[in-house]
Amino acid sequence: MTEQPPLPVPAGNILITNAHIFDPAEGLDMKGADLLIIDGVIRDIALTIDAPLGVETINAKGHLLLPGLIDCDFVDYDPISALYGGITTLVTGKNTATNSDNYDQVMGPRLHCHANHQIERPILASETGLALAGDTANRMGLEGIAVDAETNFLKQFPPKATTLLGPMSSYFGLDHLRHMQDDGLIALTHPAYFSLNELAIVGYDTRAKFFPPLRLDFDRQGVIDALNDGTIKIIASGHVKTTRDDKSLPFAQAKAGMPAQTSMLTMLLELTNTGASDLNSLLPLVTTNPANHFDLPQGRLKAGTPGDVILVDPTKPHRLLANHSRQGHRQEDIVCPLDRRPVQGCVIKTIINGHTVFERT
Amino acid sequence: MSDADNTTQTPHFSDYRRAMVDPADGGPKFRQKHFLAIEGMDPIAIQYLLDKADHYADFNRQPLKHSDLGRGLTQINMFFENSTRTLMSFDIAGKRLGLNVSSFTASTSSLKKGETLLDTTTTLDAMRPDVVVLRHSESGAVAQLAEHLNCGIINAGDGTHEHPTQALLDALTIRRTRGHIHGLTVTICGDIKHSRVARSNIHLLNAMGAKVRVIGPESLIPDEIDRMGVEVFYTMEEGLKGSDIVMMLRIQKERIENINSLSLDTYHKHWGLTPERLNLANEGAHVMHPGPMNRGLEIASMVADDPVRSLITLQVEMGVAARMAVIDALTEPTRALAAQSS
Repeated sequence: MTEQPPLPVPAGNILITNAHIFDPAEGLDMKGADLLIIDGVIRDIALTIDAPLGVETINAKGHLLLPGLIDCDFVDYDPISALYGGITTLVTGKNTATNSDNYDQVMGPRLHCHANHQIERPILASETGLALAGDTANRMGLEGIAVDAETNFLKQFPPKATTLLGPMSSYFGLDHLRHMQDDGLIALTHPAYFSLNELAIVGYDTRAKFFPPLRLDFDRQGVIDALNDGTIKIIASGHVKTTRDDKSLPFAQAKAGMPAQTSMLTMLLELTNTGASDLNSLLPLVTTNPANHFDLPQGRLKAGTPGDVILVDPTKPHRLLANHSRQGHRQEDIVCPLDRRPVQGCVIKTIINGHTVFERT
Repeated sequence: MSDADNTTQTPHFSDYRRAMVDPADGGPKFRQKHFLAIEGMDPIAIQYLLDKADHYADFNRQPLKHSDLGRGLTQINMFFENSTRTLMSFDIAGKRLGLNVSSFTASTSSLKKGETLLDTTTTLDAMRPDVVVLRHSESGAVAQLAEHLNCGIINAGDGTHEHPTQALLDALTIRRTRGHIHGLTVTICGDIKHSRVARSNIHLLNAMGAKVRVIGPESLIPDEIDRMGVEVFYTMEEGLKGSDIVMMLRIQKERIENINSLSLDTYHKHWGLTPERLNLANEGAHVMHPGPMNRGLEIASMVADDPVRSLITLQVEMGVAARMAVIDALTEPTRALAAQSS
């Protein structure tokens, strides 16, 4: 276990009743069950728990109760977005551009700084294109990166065991990993690569500019297959705080990436709601798997572990808006390619250390 | 005429008109607010611009070449990339139509002082121009700026994306020389990968029913270019056979020198247009070049200066006419409004 900085959230007591408690890692799938957190630690999970004196009780109304999510690959530290998206633990390392000393002490997620947390980017330094080489890049006059850029990297620099490798984005790259059958290797991906394809950049939509660039829908399907069969072991947000100024530049100069922490869980629920995948195989990718890799106690629902849980309505229909601080859907606030996408499912409550830190109104 | 008779004729593009999509006869034939790209343009709108340009080509051959059509309208040429001939061509086109024309290039603007591109453009928009001609070194920049401007925008070239007025003037040159575009085999040779002229020409020639081929070294032809509707050849000997028009592209010397397997000498040896190579093309084939030319690299002087087969100076002449047609078409609604209120 690594050193933990003081948590900005005070330890709290809370009893959540009538919840659908779900955690495949612990074999939990209990409907109408209760979960008790005392002093910031999960005390008990059972079908009925009597509220101890003075403990706040909330009725989950049958919604899903999941362990708080863990995000181990992001560019910008954005605590409010993380809480909005049900992310309760952020893991930083060398590859993240942020410096943990500069973080504001706001009521935010747990922050873990691992000295040896390093992510290998599966792309050669010589690849400088803006889009995937092919018809779309040709028509738009954008420099393309080779279709087999990811596979070439894997062949040239076979990754070492216990390396975090990602974001993986191509069908053939993932297929190559699948055949390597290296258990120590941990591949990760970002939500952009299973929710968008290269057509999102048509019309020079800089919001959909990513590096590595978005690929064909064939590759997107390949990423979903890899999520289902365990080739990809971790999903991280790749969160980049973008503003209108970053994105209202010519395509080549615009900032790459999207604010993804708010929508990460919703995009996973899109896969379950459309039948492309199921929560049994997806939930460990954002909870138990990163927790095990970084040797963290959270990420599971078990008595004695930190009281970080989220309440999720898996089918609530709404339209995504990454810039949650804005109430209106004004054109200039739209900085994420997923904005205004009609989706189902959202986080309705984020609880860290037994303390409610976010509540969807 | 019976159906059997029809099968012997190649259908003209207008035979494919669909009632619900295309305007009824007599309706407005050009309904675009901007002229940003050839891709996606209605062939009828292209035809309309070519007809107009044809008229201006004759108009420009009169001793007095001035029209009061655009009197009172303002045109701003914003060139964020160096250019002399295109800027001059737009300048003359606007002035011949009677517009007030102002030009600036990036070196004279406040972009150098750190102002963002969008701010510069909105500042100029506040001066209430009626037509803005934009050139920028990044693909897509012109289309992005068009969203923030209230007047008609003409794309004078954006990065490696499109150069639509060049395609229009090339089509006009072909039409005036050959009488038609439909059915011709047009071969574009050179650096297809980095050429906006090639992209616009591929779209326009395909829309007008020509057969388009591209020739170039493998490293300068992008993957999947055939999906844009072209036939790909890697040697001049194969590609030129059966061509009616040979369109050479300007080669940037740095680009050739950056490719390990190529040198300027080998480029000229394999892909330069010499009189002997031109003889492989169809009899009476014409040669075009958007300029400026690298004599002795992509084109031999013998070919470039051939008075019968080279259309290069005609292209420059048609450039003014084609640009006048676009300015005319884009200012049509404003002029109609002005006529109504007076």
